[in-house]
Amino acid sequence: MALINLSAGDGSWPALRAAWRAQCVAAGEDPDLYAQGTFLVLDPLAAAQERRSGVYAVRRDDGQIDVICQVNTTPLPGHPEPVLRVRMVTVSPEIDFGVHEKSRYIDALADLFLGIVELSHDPEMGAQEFKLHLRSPEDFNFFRVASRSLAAVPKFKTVSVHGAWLHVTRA
Amino acid sequence: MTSQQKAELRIALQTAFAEAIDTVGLHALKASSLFGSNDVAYKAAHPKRAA
Repeated sequence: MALINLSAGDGSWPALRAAWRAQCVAAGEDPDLYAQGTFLVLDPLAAAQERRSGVYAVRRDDGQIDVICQVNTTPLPGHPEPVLRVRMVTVSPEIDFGVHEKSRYIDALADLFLGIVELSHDPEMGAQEFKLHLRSPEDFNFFRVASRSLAAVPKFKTVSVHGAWLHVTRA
Repeated sequence: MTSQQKAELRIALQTAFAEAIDTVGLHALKASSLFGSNDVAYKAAHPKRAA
């Protein structure tokens, strides 16, 4: 498992798009309707070469991508150091439309957060604090509960939900 | 991070998310915006951005 950068330039982004389209078709779903809001944002970002910003994905050992997201590290008002921000987190159609053991969902979330923590140590993208954007009330409800359990993770100094963001500070 | 540190962190994260899912139910996670099939809700909440 690894969090990898996807880009149009090296072909990894169109490969992901093709793989997820195939997963939608296999599930009997319309690929053009899957995660439209996510792709409206990530398609141009994957085509751009921006410093400290990009599209990232959780890639399993078998090469399959389970989760994608947008990541950027930037200075923010009220923060002494740059903050790593994670947005547009979206799981694969295979996970979305399939019926899986609970462990599959747990692993997808754990691997996403593990990858984010690793990325937060990167010389280019690194930050002591990272934030995950909560796009809907359902996201807020889930991660508000999850934040209590995440607060017990020794690697994290603070975990809290403020507005539409889950805030995590590394220990 | 060392391989051991990564393995320990992964276990801690798995435990945390397992607790969260056990508390709210798997359906609560599946109703979130992480799932692309819920994008209709996202578009409704952000009509200008998703237009």
